[in-house]
Amino acid sequence: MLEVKNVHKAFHGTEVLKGVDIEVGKGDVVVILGPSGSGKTTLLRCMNFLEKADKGTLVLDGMSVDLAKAQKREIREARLHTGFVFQNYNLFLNKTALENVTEGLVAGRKIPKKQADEIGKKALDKVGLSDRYDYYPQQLSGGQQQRVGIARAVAANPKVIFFDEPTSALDPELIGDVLTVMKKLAEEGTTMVIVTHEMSFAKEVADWVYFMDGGTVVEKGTPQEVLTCPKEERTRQFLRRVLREIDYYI
Amino acid sequence: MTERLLGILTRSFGQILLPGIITTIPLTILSFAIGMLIALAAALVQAAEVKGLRKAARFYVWMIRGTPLLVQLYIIFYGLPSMGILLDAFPAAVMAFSINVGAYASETLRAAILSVPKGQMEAGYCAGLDYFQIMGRIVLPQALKVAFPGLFNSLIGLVKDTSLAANITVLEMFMATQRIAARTYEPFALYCEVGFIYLMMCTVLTKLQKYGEKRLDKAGRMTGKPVTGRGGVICWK
Repeated sequence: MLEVKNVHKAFHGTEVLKGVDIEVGKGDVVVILGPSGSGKTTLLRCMNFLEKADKGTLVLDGMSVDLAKAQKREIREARLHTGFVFQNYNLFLNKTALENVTEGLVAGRKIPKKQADEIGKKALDKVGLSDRYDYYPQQLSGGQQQRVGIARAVAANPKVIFFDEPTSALDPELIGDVLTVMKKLAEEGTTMVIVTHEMSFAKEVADWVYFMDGGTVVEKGTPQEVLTCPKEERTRQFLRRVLREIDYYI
Repeated sequence: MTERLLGILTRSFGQILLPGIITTIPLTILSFAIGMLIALAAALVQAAEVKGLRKAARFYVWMIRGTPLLVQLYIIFYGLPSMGILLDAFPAAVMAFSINVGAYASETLRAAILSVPKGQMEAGYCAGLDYFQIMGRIVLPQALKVAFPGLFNSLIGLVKDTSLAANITVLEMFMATQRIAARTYEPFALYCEVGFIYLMMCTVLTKLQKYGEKRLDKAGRMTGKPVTGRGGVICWK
């Protein structure tokens, strides 16, 4: 359903992505893991044209777009069918929670305001914020803000939702709420591509796990294959380090 | 204070205030309104990095901020006629003041636009909005709140700068005062008097600014301070 092929990207001469391929089937939850600097966030941003790739193709439900030479019209078209959840939520600070969700529906998709409000309320209900419609971002906790961010991405019923480290900016006790919402979405059959450090979440929810390092996909497979018995030495090293870090928390 | 001086001051008060009301205030409002439009255009082409126009805007700001307002007034009123462009004094003053205040206000606006966290722009794109929608609905409303005190600064400055229009024969408050002072030989009292009237006008504006800031605070609920989140990313809480 979604496929990116041979994505290359360099920042000021430093190659960050060296030919990455990702394939996502309808309803799949794909988790991308990797140490910082491995290019996973850049990959996600390239897939939604937030970063312009130097080379690569995106195929979204039959529509093929050149990531390096996409026209404005093509980019908009692709974005209307995708959602994006940011690490820092990036909510519109001058808009209420409900307005954050409906903004893209009303202005971007020309849905009548009344209908958009209904969709928006439903989306906020889904993420457990039915009592926060009229709150401004500053009046919400980090976890609540991120759930508004998820509602905003879900509301337009996109074909796929990208999550860029959605829990990395949150206090530990708030992470659970966000992950619960994401799990619910996964169970409903939402197609998701998630960059995260939450190992147990990956193990539990992912259909496919990609391990990236140094701008390439080192290993991919089911969570069982990649997380429990990785074939590559680099994956093993990474997992050892990450799992030890988790020990520290406990 | 002698009775004569008191008489001059009371009689002149109306004679000074009248041109203030029919000239200084309209001159200020008109110039500021046009200046704001220029400022918005100059700030937007820079923020949007429109090639060519961005450079033109930088050049404009550089020119205007780098030359005295009085010189700009003289060029427009006394200089342009030799190029075949003849303007009446009032329109010439409006032109000079709007161009001048536009340059300063564009910098205030540009900084305010830049102060809106860039992630909201990206989020806007991802939500399916186009550039103009994001600017109009998300970024500018927040930027205007940030720019508000700075823009008021420019407005208050402009009120007093309009006194320079006396140099190009605009009969505003200062020129009216000059005339009365020349007639009565009481420069000290009269210039103090006109200064006081300017001060009162600016006092009203200062109050207006406070009121406006309060209103904006309520409207935007952006009372929070920027905090550094994890990973050194600035966000608002």
